[in-house]
Amino acid sequence: MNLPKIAPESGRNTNAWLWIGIATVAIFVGGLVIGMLQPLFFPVVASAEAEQVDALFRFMLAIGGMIFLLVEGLLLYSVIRFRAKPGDISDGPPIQGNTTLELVWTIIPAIIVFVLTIYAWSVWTNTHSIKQNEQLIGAVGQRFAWTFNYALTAATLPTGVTVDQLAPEIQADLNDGGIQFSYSQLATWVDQPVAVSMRTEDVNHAFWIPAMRVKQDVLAGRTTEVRFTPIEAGVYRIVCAELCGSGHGAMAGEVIGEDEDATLLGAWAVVYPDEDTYRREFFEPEARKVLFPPEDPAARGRQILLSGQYPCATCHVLTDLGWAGALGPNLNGIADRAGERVPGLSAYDYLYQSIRQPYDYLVPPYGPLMPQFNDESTESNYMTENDLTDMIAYLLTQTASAGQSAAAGTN
Amino acid sequence: MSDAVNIQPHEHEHVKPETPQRIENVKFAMWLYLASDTVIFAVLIATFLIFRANNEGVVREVQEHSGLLLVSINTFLLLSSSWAMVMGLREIKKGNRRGLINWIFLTAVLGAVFVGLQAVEYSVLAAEGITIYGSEFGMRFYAPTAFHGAHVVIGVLWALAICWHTLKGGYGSKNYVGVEVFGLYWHLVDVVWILLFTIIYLV
Amino acid sequence: MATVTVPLPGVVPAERAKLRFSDYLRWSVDHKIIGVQYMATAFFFFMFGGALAMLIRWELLTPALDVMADGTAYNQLFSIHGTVMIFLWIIPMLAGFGNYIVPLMLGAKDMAFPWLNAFAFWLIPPAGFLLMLGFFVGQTEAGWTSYPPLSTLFSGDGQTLWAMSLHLLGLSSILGAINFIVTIKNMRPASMGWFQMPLFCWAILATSIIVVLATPFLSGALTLLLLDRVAGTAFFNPAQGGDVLLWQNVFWFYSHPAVYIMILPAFGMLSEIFSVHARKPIFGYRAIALSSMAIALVGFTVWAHHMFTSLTPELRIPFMITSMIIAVPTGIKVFSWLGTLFGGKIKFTSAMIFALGFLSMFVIGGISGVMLAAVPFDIHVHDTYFVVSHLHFVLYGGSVFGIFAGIYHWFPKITGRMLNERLGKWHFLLTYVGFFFTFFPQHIVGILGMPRRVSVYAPEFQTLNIIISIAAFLMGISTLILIYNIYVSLRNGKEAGANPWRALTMEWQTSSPPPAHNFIGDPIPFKNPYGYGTKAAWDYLEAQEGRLGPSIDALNVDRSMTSPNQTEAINKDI
Ligand code: HEA
Ligand code: HEA
Ligand code: CUA
Ligand SMILES: [Cu+2]
Repeated sequence: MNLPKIAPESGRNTNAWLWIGIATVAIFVGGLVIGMLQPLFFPVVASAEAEQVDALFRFMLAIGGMIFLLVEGLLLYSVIRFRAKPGDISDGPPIQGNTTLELVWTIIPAIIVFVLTIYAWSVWTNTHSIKQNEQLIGAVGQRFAWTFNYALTAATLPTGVTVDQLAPEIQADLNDGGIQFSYSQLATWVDQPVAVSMRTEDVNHAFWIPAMRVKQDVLAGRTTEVRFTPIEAGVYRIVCAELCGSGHGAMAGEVIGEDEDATLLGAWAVVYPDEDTYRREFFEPEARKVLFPPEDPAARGRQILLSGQYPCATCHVLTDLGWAGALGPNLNGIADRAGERVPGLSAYDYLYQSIRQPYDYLVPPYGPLMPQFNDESTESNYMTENDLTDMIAYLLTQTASAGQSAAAGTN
Repeated sequence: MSDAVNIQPHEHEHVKPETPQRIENVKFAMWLYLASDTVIFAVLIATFLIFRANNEGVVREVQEHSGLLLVSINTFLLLSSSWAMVMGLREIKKGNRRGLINWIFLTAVLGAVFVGLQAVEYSVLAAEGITIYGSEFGMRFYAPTAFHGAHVVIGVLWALAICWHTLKGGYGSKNYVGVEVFGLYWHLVDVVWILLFTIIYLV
Repeated sequence: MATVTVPLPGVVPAERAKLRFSDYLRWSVDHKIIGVQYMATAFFFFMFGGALAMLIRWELLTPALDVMADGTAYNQLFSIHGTVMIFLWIIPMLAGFGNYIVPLMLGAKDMAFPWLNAFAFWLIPPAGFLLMLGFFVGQTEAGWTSYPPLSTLFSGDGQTLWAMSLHLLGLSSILGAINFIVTIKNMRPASMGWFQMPLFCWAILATSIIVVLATPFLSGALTLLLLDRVAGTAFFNPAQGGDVLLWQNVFWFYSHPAVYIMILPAFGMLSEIFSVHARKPIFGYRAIALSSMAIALVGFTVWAHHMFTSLTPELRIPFMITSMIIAVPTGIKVFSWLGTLFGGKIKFTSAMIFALGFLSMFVIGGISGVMLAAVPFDIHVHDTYFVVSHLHFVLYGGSVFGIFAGIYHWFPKITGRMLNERLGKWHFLLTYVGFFFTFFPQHIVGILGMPRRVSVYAPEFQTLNIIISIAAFLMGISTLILIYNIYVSLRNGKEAGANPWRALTMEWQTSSPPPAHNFIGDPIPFKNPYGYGTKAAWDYLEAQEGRLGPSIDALNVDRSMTSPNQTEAINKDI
């Protein structure tokens, strides 16, 4: 016993087979067409990995498209072809099943799945394998910002800088293990394999660059790694993909202002066309800042804050530095207010306290979100006493008037 | 998960003999419940095993300190209580209510002592600073053992309920399925303890 | 062929049982009342969860945070939305159908343990209350997956209530499942072998087995979570020797099987509805019955496909393989259903359309599932709207459409009145369109780079999100049509009669609604629950109608043109 109409032995068979043939071709072609649509709704392809992942998806989309067309096609055909006449309550033919058919639709999916697995597997092995001469970057995730650490050694000093020009303590650091300097963006250049090793100060986060198609959770208590090789110069948004609290959505690169004078804030991957440009435009200027820190503490404080070493920018507004965070108190003109906030605390002491003990006094209506910055290098969120005093020195220059002039300056 | 009690007592009709169908149902249900209960234990024990796999030393140390005396007594108590329970079941099959009461009561007593000694052991460990919080060993030790302890407590109450029920003329040679499922439960509590004993104290 | 195919003489119909509203508000051990209690409670929570979803979509109309007070408030929305929809809507709703229908299908007088049954139900309202309380005391912000350390060290009391509530719900479904397994194994009539059991019972059996073996993992994990939160332990706190991946593993070891808990019963309903409304035997009965078991089994081996971005890389591939394998047994079901439709006499009842809607949408969700199972691609779309889209395609396009189909199919049995078919069609149309345009575009925003669980997002995604939100509101409103339909039909819907769909399964072999102990005398099952198109079946139904009185057919038939057209068709034993 077999299905009516499509069964060879039940009359009009040549005809039936013809239609089945046509349908099969249609489904096959249709699937391929659907597969072709893939580039329409994918982000730019900015890494070698992305090319392979997209190819894999194109394949899956084509297969999926065929299955979709097959199922929906059969469904529609049956529903149209086998409608019951109104009022007819007689039954259809008593067909209980058909072993051959059932075997077919068990085996074919099995084969498809098998092929898919092999393909996906090979893509996986290519994409996450360790590459030669990788650029090693450290990343720290914390609520709600990313910080990236770059190694500066005697070997990688900026051009024209020699060790003996440097202040003694900096020379010392340089000689034992080198200096780590932080920056809020991940900078690299085309065709340079990158390996980012990541840890978190608090909860789990996930490091994701959609344009690179790479993602890896950053797990509390562990160090995890992610690799990719950019193939396209440009700036690409870095996103936090693991729920980490109220600022989860803000823990990504954002654009401030309109097209011309638009500035990039927060986490972005900046891919320079080649290594020279990378060193010239990013590495050496940043290196110089740490090698020759300004004498004036306020200036140094400003520099630290700008470097993104500490995640303040995500939550606070401070026009002078281009911050536009919405999760914490506004810092424009803080110098005027800091003195009055808590009776008995000078402006300096107040700022000191609200960084070392953020929860002692909360500015209404804001909740206890700010990480506590400790003076113990062993604890999380370590902040040296020097950095702190310098940053406060800078903040105390931020009077309302200073704010205006800064704003005026930017226009 | 203190739902063991809910599994059945309210079901059985008091005087008239149980239908075979019903006996079938109640026993099968109990088995299913025990299956899922075991899984919870599995999770808790797993956390301990993972820990001891990485921290051989710590566990050894604690084993030195606490010593085997108390727990060995406890193990013995629990085993004998199981035996008492089996005897009780045998009596009621013969229709001897008094026998049932005596044995099951003994079961309850032994169970109670077990819990008591466990409390003693806890306090000893606590004195050595091994508490459920702030001790990596502690939390993984207390979670499963305390969960087991809770099972024993429930078992004791259940046993007493059975005695009471029998005094009221509850069970008979025709309807003792209530006792039987209690038996199944008590055996699980027993087996789990043997497991904990070996994993935590012996190996 | 010895089994009787015509009902026993002398089995007289009971007068239609009267439903009293008050009965449903108090403790009762009648599985029919408990079943309705489950369904009503679940539906209430559907409304609640849905209203939250509406808020979510409202917030996401703009890239900025404007509707909600702060990020935490938004996080609460989807955390409670997800938890409610899964643990207080889908699972109890399906349990409700099981409660009402399984004993009837087996010709039993009640479930094996009526008291336990009631107890399991009455755990749900307090649990739901706790959860809502958690919503209002706030800080339940870790999502329905509640990953530590966010859920332990960084969120407030709401999270504790959340865990307690889930503990109760877990206990409730374990007790319910035990009851189902015992009922199905022991309370079938002598003449009904395993393979003469309706497929819905098979589905409930498979589901219950999963519940009994998987839910305790959730209980275990929650116990540890609660200890961490209240007793100060550090199972999930790396700073004190804990491990955050422990939670992820144990949670998913429950929660992946749980997704099959949420779909298998709906599969079962689909098998019933297709066969009845296409007037054709289910195609490949055994394959469908056993594939449920296969899915249940393989479902236990795939949990880590939710952890492709946190699991150690070496372990990812094995889980990809097992995850993909599940496509095969599910495919068997899908094609068998198509085989059932093919060549049948399809009636466009509301139940049938929703069932067809299920089939057409679930396939999309399934295929996106297989795509997600492919590690390299999942790496890109994990924790994006692509996943949100997948889960709604399978949960809404699957489970919820299935539930709606079930409501239209069994409402006559439960209440004795038909639902209004025209309203039903409108309900379907709006829901279907709304559903598709809510969730299909989410694939695309996800791939383009919009993560899930965010209240602020990159401006370039706004257009798509506006489309999504509008469609979502449409879907929300469409749900109100169903409510209205139920309301009017309860008052003055057409009298259903015992068997309006002329179905062969046993729940239709008694008056609607059934009397206190379901059947007068012992009903005899027709030897093949799906034996349509045979003389035997025809006579059986005619005789039944003679006995239980005529059923007005939903599609008011004229009986002149309804001779059994395949009198000498052979009835191959299944
Ligand atoms: C009803 C619930 C349900 C169902 C049935 C499924 C079914 C499947 N799911 Fe889904 N899933 C969820 C509910 C469900 N899922 C939820 C809620 C989440 C999100 C959890 C969270 O993070 O919040 C999730 C997430 C999820 C992920 C994790 C994504 C991520 O977070 O990164 C993955 C990855 O593998 C996955 C895979 C699958 C697969 C392979 C199936 C398969 O079972 C599908 C099988 C069906 C078919 C394939 C279609 C029919 C078959 C054919 C027509 C035959 C031919 C087909 C082929 C040969 C391909 N699901
Ligand atoms: C069966 C389960 C189920 C169901 C039915 C739904 C139904 C819906 N879901 Fe939900 N959803 C989940 C399960 C489900 N969801 C899960 C598990 C998550 C993950 C949570 C997490 O990340 O932790 C999720 C997450 C989730 C998100 C992602 C949130 C985020 O990550 O930021 C979104 C966003 O669009 C969403 C939308 C919707 C919508 C619009 C509906 C609609 O279909 C709802 C339609 C129904 C109604 C609207 C109710 C009826 C009508 C009323 C109540 C009257 C009021 C109506 C109006 C005001 C118009 N859901
Ligand atoms: Cu960090 Cu989300
Ligand atoms: Cu899954």
